[in-house]
Amino acid sequence: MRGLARLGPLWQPCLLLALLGLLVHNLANWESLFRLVQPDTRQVIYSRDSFSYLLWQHLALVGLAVVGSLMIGLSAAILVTRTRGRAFLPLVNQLASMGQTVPPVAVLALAVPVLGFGNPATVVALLIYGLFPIVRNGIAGLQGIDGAVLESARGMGMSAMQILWQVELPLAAKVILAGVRTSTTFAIATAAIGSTVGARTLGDPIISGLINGNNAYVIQGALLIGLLAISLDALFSAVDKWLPSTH
Amino acid sequence: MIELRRLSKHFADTTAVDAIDLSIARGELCVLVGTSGCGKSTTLRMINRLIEYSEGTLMVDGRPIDQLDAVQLRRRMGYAIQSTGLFPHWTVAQNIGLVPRLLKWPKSKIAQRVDELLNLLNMPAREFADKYPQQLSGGQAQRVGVARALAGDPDILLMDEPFAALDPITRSNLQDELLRILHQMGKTIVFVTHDIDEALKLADRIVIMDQGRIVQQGSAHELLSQPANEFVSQLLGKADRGLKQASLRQVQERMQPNIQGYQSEQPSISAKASLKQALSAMLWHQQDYLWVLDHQQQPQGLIELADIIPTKPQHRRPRS
Amino acid sequence: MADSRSDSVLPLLSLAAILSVLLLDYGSVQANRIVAGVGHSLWSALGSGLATLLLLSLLAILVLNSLPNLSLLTKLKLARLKPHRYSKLYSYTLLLFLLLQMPFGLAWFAAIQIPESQPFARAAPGAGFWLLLFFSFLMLLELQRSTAHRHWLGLGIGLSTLAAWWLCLQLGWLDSLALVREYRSQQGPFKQALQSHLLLVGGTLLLSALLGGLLTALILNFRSLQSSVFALLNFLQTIPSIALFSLLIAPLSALSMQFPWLQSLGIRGIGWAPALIALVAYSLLPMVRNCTVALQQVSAEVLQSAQAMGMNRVQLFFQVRLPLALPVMIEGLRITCIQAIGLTAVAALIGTGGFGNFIFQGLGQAAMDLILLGALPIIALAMVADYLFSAAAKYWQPGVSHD
Repeated sequence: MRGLARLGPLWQPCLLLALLGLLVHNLANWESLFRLVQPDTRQVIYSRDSFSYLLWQHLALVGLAVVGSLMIGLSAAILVTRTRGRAFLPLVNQLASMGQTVPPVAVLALAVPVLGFGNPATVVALLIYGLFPIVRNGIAGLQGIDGAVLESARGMGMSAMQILWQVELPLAAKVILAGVRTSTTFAIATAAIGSTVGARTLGDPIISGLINGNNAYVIQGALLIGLLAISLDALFSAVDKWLPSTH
Repeated sequence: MIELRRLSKHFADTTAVDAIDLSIARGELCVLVGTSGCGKSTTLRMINRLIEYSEGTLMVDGRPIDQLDAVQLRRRMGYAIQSTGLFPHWTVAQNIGLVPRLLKWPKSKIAQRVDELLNLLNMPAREFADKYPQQLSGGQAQRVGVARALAGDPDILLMDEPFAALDPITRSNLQDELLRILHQMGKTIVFVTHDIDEALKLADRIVIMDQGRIVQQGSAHELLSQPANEFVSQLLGKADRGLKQASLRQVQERMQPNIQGYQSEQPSISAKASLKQALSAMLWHQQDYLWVLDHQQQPQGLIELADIIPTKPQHRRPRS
Repeated sequence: MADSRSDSVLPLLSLAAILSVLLLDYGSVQANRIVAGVGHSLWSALGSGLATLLLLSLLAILVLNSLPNLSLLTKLKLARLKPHRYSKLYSYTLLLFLLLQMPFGLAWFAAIQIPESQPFARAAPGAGFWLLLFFSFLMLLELQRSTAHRHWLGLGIGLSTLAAWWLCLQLGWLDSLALVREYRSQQGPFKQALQSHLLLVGGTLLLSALLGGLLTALILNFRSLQSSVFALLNFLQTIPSIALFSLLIAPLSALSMQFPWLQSLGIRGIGWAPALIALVAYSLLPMVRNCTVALQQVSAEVLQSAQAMGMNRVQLFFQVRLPLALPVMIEGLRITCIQAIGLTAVAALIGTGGFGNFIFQGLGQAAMDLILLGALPIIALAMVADYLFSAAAKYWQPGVSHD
């Protein structure tokens, strides 16, 4: 009963994802609709790649990058909040907040001279940019835990590992999740721009449409990217509601 | 049971605990009292190695604790603190079951233990087991904290001002319950407080600390009748020391077994009441005697002001 | 206490710097704008003299800051090593040297490695150089953490480093540097990009401050609006910038077709109009959120006591609420500004100009230096904005005296 009630908030992201799926599969059939936007052009449906392929590529880039940033960023946050790594805490914290002032486009642009064009450069850029919010939130979440809780956990005879997995990470989960959510939002937006550095993403129709003056392409790409971002954000919001509140 | 020998703790440039000697016997309730920063909490936390000591020896059951694994050691000792430190993401039952789970008890035994402890602390398991800490009142949370400390059935219980944040009535209730439970269980307890009245009420032995040293230790009576120095008598509350002492004695210790002329409408007092309560009742009724009743309201005897203040001849006020 | 347990951060950073200058190319030389460069190690780039000096200073920082860590030696009474009284001063000096030598080192590199016969050849700093810069910066941050007057010291070091670069540029010593070449050939467009970038960011700040202020006032007066306004702004913030920019193109071009007078104002499907609308839409969330939070968090007791003293509503707002809320409101401006600087770069895709133009042109032509010419100024702008707004927030922090 309680389990069902907790799953409740999931209907929203499910609906949005279903809509996204519907669009991805049927956009190509709505030629007459897009003809209204772009009456004088021969081709009004982007067809270099199928939308489902682009969506899949986009998701893969974002997923790879966010999982990478989560693993690296969370490890860093855990390390600098242990006694041994405490010395690095101020520097890492400062670095993460400074990193967030660098515009994501600039990170993407700088990845190209180092890594060349294509998917790898895009993933690495997304991953690096995604680190900053996860590290910051990770540190904030782990440090925000009531000292008395940690002391009593130690006092009860929990080992350092048990405290980390059973107490610290669950208590910091909401804050960490917020960091992952920010990272994902940035990654989806920046991956779209990744089309300009040679990655295949949902940004392709937009860029191609902008270059060729084809607004129909632009709208197709923008619609899908916007919907993707909104559905994933709704998913995060559902997960956040599902996590037990700790305050 | 617990032996501290010339135990010291130095922090960067301060000495928090300065070569103290203390031995606590099995089953004893030893209360460390002092102002904040006197080293009482540090001493307590050195016993379960939340703080490592700098010098000296600390033995539990005859074994130096630095030879024991800190984590294993802590599982053998209950620990309750002022801010409870309950895990906010776990239910009351999960919180209480923590140490038994760490000790790998079977599930059914853990559940049984949780129920037993909740009932012991007057919190019906059916009502409270599945609640989260933030749904509890301060007093209830503190009960759960104590239950959690007791759950692994430790021989030793360490308590750091567990009741300090509670209102006076809840605090007094919990103190009474603690005493009741302890009499049932016979645990060794080290209890830290800054509240001298709490110490006088609970302690078998009071250890008064100041600036990292033990100033005096002994029973409540010994301390009240012979404070070692000005600091101790200050701490004991110089002005109402007499009243405090009176609160430690029961009426039945001083009453006369004489019920001649007993009249039920005259002022009376329970045999278990303290001398302080008796004095208060005499003041209230403006009368220098009270009838003493047992718990069935049957007269047991009589207590007079002179029984409470046995004046010596040379101190008798000169009459004109 | 903090000193005796002196941490391993500085030694580790200097070790990382040493490894990166040793293992990676310090610079490269390209025969022209498009061909790949030829890498040069530290030794061949700077010559053995300067290279040794550079390595020695890094080593010195490592050793100076490791001394307190060699506790084994002190324990064995082999040595009485205490943190050296002047180790921090020495470290600062060495770092200043490392930072100051950078432009001169690059000039020297260009001078010794570019033959006279190749007037189009260009030198570029390599990964080793960039990492050295990065780690030096981190060491500076770490050193500053435990220093009094750190803000003035940091400002001094920053300004003198900038002065060194400026000097080398003025003297023409860096002319064969790829980035400088690129800049010289793009001087006109660069100025234009700077202008349009700043204009768009400034316009966004102004408009979103006005609109944000209005929305905040609305929320504060009608509490019931709060959650729906925030839901809407959050929703907007979630939409990827490129999508929002693009989605505005069609409606705006349709509008300008319908009303030709709009075109005379420069409002078209592409260009500054959709960009400005999208930028303001993005800016509203940080703006409104910070303003409402700032104004709402002023404690009820303070407000009550102010009322009890007989302040009227206007006095209450301007003398109590606003000053207490100001730092958080400035923080909102800071976030808005940094965000707008980055998004304006993306807006170059829909024809607004700005530094994004260089990035996307560079990407199109595979001209790395052009990409840098776009990306580096954007980062610099964001950093400067961050610094200025943070300083302002600090300055207006209530209850802190400035002396």
